[in-house]
Amino acid sequence: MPLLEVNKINKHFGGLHAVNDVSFTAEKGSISAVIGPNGAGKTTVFNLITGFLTPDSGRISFEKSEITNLKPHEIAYQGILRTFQNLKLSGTMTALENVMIGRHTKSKSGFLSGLLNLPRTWKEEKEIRDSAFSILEKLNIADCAGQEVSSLPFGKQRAVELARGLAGEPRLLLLDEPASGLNIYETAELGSLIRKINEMGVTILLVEHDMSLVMDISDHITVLNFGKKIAAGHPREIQRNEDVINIYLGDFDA
Amino acid sequence: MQGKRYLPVGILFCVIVVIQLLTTLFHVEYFLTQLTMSAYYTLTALGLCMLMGYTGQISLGQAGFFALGGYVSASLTTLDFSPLRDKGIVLFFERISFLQTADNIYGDEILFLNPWIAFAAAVLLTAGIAFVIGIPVLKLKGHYLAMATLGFSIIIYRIVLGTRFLGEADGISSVPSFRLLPGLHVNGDFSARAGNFYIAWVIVIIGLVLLLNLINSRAGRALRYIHGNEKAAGAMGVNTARYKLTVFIISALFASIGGFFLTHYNGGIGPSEAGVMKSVRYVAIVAVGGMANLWGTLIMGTLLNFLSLRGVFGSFDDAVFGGILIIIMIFAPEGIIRPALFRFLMDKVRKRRRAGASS
Repeated sequence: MPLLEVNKINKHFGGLHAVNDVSFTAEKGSISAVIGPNGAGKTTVFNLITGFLTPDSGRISFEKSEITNLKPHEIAYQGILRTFQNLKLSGTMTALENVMIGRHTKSKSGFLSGLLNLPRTWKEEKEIRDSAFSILEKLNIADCAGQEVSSLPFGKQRAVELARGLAGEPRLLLLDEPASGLNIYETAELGSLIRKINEMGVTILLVEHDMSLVMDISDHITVLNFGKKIAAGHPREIQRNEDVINIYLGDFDA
Repeated sequence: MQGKRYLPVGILFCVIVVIQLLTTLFHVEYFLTQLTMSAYYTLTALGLCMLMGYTGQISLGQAGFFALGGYVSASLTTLDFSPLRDKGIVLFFERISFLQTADNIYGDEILFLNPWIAFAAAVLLTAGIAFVIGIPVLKLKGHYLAMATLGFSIIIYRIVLGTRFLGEADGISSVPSFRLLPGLHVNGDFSARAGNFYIAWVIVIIGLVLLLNLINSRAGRALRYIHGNEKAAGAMGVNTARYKLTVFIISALFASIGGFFLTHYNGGIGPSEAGVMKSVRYVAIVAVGGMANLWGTLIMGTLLNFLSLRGVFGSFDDAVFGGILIIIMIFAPEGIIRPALFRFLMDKVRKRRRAGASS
């Protein structure tokens, strides 16, 4: 059963047709990937799904209900959380606080109870802190909990961002180029981590141009080039697809 | 953790008591007047600290909200209803103490609106105006937001300067005393000086505690995250537009309540309270206090306003605050009062001690 359905979405930026009639689905419990060379429109597709952009036409639905024109925070409340290609963390806050914000959709104290420090918020605050810490432990970065994020090495910052996404117990986790800036060992480690998260019951959709990672872990791949879908299928089919080989290795007939 | 948050507040209260006792001891009670006025300006700065320091949304409109609170109360409580006394409705309002009586300077009895009603009006109007202008204005960022809020305070300034009902350039005087509790009046009587000093500082402490609670709560974390990375906050489920609007209204209310109390304390208000340089002053105080630092804002707000009100800066008053802002922005954009400063000082002290021990 498809958890996420993207149906013929289009997006123009001025004269550029950045996303052209793209359709694909992400099956519940699967790891799906959207790949393509730089500028193929992958990140734009992500921004369209998560509400940072609205499509000019087309429909996006999540668990059968339409989410096309929802705002980013409303999409987060649906159970779709994401990471960003260029890390987007709050650098002056600690790693733990950065993960705690990930529990925003799972908690509900507002301004009034915050201003008055009402006793009923204490339990919730403790729950937010404890579950954020346990996610840091799961990702083996609990030792960074109290450190300011901007002082952490890049790889750890990436892990904090992943932890932040997990903290909200997403049903669909979108990973925007999770392997960018990682070496081959770190990429392999990331691959097994993504598998582990998937086994916990989180459906995963990732955008990536690191082929080794994608071929390794994905159940289904959609290939974009210049905003258009040119192929879709199982990694083995994609590897043999002539068009895909052409765009990645160059068209030898030309 | 809870205790750690409130212990410094307890110390602050002790400091306030000690200051009051010292002024009595050294017969400098007149300092209390400037310290009381500083308290109300500091309350405004604390609200701005939450908006600008913690949430990252600059506002050059705080003087506008300060004047709003002051002028609403001043204009409403200086209306004399005594000529309308024969009307049943006025009598009814007097009976339920919506209206109060007092003697004016000529000894005639006047009938005026209970300042509590004016307080409610000031709070509601401020929240309403902040809500209405906040929705479009908070879509802007950085310099653009600064300019839009600056525009708001200029509008308020021109309105109070050009409206006869608001006293034009003279402002409004003879604002009645505000009976906070039986026996506790907000006014400038010399006999009530110590009482008013405590009223002002208890109000500041209440405001401070509310904001200290907020920054350590779920909502406060979301606000700080908007400062750190607004896009990511949205992706994690924070309704960034609503959170920014709410904190904008809270900061406007802090300013408005500060203006309300200062007006009753001074017995009047003039258009200079709405001036652009007043707004710049609040921004300078938050900046020099360390931006995301309520305690820094409290200390610098009290100190600088006290010095300014004592006339230490002379005719360079506004220039001093402008100069502070420039110097802070160039040399210490994170403010002066921050952990790094204490670390630096502690290192100096330690080194000196070591040097002393070795010689």
